[in-house]
Amino acid sequence: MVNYLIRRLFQMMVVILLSSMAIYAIMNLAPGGPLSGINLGADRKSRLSPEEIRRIEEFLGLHRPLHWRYIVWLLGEDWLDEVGLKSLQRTSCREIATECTRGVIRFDFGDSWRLAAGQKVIDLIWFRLPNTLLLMTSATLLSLLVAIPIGIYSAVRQYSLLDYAATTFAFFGTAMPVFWFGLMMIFIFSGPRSPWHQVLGLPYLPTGNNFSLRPPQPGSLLYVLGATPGSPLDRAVHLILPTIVLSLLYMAGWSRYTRSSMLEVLRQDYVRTARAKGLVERVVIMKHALRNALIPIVTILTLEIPGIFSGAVITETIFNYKGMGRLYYDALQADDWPVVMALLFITSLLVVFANLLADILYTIVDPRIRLE
Amino acid sequence: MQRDGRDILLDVRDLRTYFFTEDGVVKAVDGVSFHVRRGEILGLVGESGCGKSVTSLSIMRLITPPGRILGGQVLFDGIDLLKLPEPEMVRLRGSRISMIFQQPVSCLNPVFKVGDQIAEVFQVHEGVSRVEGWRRAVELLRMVGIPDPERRAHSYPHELSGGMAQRVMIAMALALGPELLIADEPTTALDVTIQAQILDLMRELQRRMHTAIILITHDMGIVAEMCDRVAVMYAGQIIEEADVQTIFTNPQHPYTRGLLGSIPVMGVVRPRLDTIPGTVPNLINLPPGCRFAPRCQARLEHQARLGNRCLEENPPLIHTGPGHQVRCWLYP
Repeated sequence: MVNYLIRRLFQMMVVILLSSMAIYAIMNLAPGGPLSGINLGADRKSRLSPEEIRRIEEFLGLHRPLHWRYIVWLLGEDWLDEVGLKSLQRTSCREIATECTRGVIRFDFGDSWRLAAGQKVIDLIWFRLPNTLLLMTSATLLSLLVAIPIGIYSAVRQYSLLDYAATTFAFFGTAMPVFWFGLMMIFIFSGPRSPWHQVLGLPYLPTGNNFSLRPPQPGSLLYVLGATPGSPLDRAVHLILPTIVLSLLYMAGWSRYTRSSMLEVLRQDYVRTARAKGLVERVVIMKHALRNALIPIVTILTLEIPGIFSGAVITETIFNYKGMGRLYYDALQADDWPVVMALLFITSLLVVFANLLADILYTIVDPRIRLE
Repeated sequence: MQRDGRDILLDVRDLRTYFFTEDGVVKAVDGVSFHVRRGEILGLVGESGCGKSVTSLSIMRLITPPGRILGGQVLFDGIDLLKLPEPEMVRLRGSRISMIFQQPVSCLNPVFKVGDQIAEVFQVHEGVSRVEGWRRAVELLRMVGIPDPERRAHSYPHELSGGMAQRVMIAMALALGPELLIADEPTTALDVTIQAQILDLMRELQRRMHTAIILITHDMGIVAEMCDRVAVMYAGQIIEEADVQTIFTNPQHPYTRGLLGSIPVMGVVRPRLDTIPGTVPNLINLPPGCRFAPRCQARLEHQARLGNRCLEENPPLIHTGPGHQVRCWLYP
């Protein structure tokens, strides 16, 4: 086991290094470069001259060859001083900052270029992360809570009416684009002019954002509940729609995984043995079968961990929810490369570690598996 | 022999279990009748796919869809199991009737320790605590000849050999001293030497606990060694039933004779063992007459006397001697 972990850690380091190269290369080899959009939408007066653009390039270190930029991004600039390569440091580091960057390898992702220009990327992430964790864990928990019982029922009563209904629902959930479904939910439930409020007279939901900035309007759910802007209740109400949209999407997958895993297990000889020794059907299903059927579910769930951190780009964007997904979307829109690359790098780290965790958990939930 | 005598433990009458598949109705068990006396070992013999396992699962009422028990009676100690409400049937399983199977390792739940799996029987049927159940599980493991039972109880099924796993299954099945044990090919998946050990163990425990056993097998050697009486099945029906002596000395059905001809006899040199030509008929489209007729050599030899009767009419099971029944137009 220890040997295995040591070997795995070495492999993981190689994978992370390769993925850092890939992330950097993909961003930098894309045509145009980060400053190509700088004059878009600018009128003649505020247009930047080529000289000014060149100065910005030097300031950001973009005039250096790709491999030097990669090394600086990965390992930082503070050490260049000590090895006598101070000239390779960016202007911003040499002339303005009191401290040069320490590289993504030491979790220094540099400063944001445009979204929050001059702020540390890591601060931006720390600020957004709790929102995303809240949204993703509630969506994941809600979907598991609903989907696992549905999956069990669908397997135990295969081809029953409810099984067909669940299957139809699952296909609907998977096939339906989130951007459309999210908009439909907003259309139906959000705002004073929604059919939910107009036709049914029920309190409407907020259209988006994480919390209200103004006191709630009469007719809204926030008003009915008397939620003060920024309170936990206010935030919870804002979570309702994005959570439902995401949960429905996840539910579709989880119920199918559970169903097929359970169907597989129910065919096994040990289920027949459990019945033959006089267990009631409920115990046969919920103890002997489910315990085995959950083994692959635990693995898939572990592999979802990176997603819980990196958020749901489309859903967060639709609902203007200030999480990691929305941050990624905004950073891409704004050509804010340090932010984009930080998010990609962190996600790749999480993917690698989640894989290791899945393998370790596997040995715990399935006694047949030993890591050699 | 009186069929309704007081020593009859299990009386299966005209049992029919069909499987409703997309290809058609598979008549896996089609009018099977036999009985088991207290403390005896009945061999249920036949080729693969003749309905032996389905018969035993029907007795336990463990047939799952698309299978269904259509009719007949399974009288266990005078109670018709097929009419018993499910909760009472559940109480019976594992306590008064238990079962062991062909693939012992895959019959044990891979994620629970074997000690817990045996203890569960005591917990469910006698309501004892887990600790007490575990203690008795260790005792059982000792009884079935597992060395170092305290440590072995902590093993998971995949850590056991096939023979060990079957001993665990036997321990689990005999935990509450059942009156009937159904052993569905218990040694088929095991090495020959292990086979002998398991059979010895079963016979020893059977004598000690006075448990009746239905031993399902296709191995006539095991039948000769273990059984008191034999029922031979073919294509979902019993075609001959007799005590073990009679079956070996005076087999009457051509199929039984074929089965016996296909085992080697010590000291008799034969260029090759006899085989029964052809295969078991498709249980969806059964021939209208005797189900063995298409493969039957005797039918051809006695064509003059029997005519086409064998192909047109299924013979009834008739008595040809004390306790000897056969389903064949050659008799009487």
